[in-house]
Amino acid sequence: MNPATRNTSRTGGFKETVTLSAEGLTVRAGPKQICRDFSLDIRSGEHWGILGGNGVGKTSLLHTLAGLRTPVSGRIKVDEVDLQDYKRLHLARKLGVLFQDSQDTFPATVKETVLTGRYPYQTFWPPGQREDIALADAALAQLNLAQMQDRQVDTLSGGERRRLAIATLFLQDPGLWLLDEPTNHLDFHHQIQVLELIGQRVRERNGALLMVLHDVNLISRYCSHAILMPGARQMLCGEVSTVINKANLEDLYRHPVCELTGGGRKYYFPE
Amino acid sequence: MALLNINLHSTPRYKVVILFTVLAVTAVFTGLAALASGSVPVPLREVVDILVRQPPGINSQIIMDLRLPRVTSGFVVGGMLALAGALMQILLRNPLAEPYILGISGGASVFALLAISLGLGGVWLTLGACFGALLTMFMVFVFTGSGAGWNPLKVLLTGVVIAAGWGALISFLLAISPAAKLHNMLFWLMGDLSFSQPGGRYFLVLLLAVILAMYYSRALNLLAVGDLQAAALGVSVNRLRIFIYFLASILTAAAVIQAGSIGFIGLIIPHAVRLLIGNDNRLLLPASVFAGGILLVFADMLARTLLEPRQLPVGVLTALIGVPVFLLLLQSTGARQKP
Repeated sequence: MNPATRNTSRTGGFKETVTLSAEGLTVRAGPKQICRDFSLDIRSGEHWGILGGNGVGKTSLLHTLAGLRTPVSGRIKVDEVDLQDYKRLHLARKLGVLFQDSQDTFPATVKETVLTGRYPYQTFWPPGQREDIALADAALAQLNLAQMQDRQVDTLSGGERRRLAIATLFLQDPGLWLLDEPTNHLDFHHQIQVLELIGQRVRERNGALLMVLHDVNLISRYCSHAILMPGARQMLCGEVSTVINKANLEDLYRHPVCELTGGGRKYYFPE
Repeated sequence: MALLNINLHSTPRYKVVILFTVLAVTAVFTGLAALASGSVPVPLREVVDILVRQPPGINSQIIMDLRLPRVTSGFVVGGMLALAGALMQILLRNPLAEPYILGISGGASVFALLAISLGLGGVWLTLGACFGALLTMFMVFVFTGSGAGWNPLKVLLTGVVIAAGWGALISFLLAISPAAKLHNMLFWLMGDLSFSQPGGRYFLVLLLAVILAMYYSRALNLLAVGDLQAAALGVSVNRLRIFIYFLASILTAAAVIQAGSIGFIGLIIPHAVRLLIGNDNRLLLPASVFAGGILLVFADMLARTLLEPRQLPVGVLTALIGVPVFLLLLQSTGARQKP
């Protein structure tokens, strides 16, 4: 089902609903202003995409919303509670982040790495370790990584690492998913597979999703809402059907865009 | 890929138990061998008898009053250095980090050498070293400043610069000291267990440190993956970093106060253990403590006996034993890494 046309109902399902909201948010990175007096309201069932040119601060905005960066001013709330009032461990059960890249000074194995996703739920000697390992096996299988569970992380390819990070997020099992370019390094097949899996997972959990993507066409296919970040100018937020169009994209990238229609969908390409 | 690749999710638990049993048994036997050997050799059976019953006699005195304090403090110092090294490597995100890299041993040495050159011994030497180590610990902490996060690179640079400053002062002290005192000074600098007192108190420090480090070992695993990733999974990264900094620094200070700056153990033992069992800190940290303790007790035994009645600085021996063992380990894991 295409989430863009799906009914993004605001009523809760069988799992508790989630919300992520920002109010009067001003974010800076050094001298650069990323957003000013920005407000946002994300609820269960909504899938948001962030579009913007290089260096406009998409990642900084995502990190700020995840509580990993302090804004200049404004409030961010998760489930109606101010981010600052959360303990990191409790926040990690509600909100998960996929980062652009990972470090590995002392690399672990694939299995060990995916199991780190259970950290917010574990005590010192994990009592539920058997269940955790079952979850890990399932996630690795879903992302076609089962064959390499004993490999060292630093021997994986870029795409394999990406899928490993997503599998780790599956184990973290948050309600709010903040993803920084989830399709980086992925081939066509895995791009679609990963976005389908993530979308399905978020829906099952009655969660919400916010992701930075460079591919407009993937956003219009997998997102219900979009944020356009045109650098210094006012940001544009709203449903995909109203925000994403030829004029807005040309304005966003300051580059001519051509629009094609096929299979009932609109596709956008740079001229 | 680690040589044995022991981990907590796919290795059967009994193998983990075997690993630590082997380490503990090796530690006990190395300790007994070290107690037995020296300028007056004592048969192993008698060593055990003395330890159990403590009968009166000259051998009993030699073992209980001279060798036992040295062996226990050797184990404690080795364990402290290995643990501090493993923690520093994660804290600074740098495989070349070791306990002395932030200048703690340098600070301790300057004040210990000052005590020696002033003709003060015993308590003053220990107090001087203790003061120098703690002074450095706070200097590095204050000069790193808080700012936007406690940046590992800034800690490293601050520490390295302060260490260089102490290094210059050490050279200065050595240059202006009379020849008669140089021998003592050089032994202190190279690390020496001959001043050791019973290691009881320090053993408690090590035990407490191991417990604390183990409590945070899962969080340390995440820190090794990356700061942001760790924070997103629920670790209070800055708090953990500062805590680990003080824990590693206090361990280093305690080791330096007991035995001067014994090189090599803090750098190489954690890597050797990583090559053997992998990077999971839940196993790596306690195994490093054992391995560091064993190596130092063994090295000190050789230092006392090789050129009898002359004593060699134990730091020379730790390197002479450690270098070939480590190179061999590196070779054998390199061979296995081929696809």
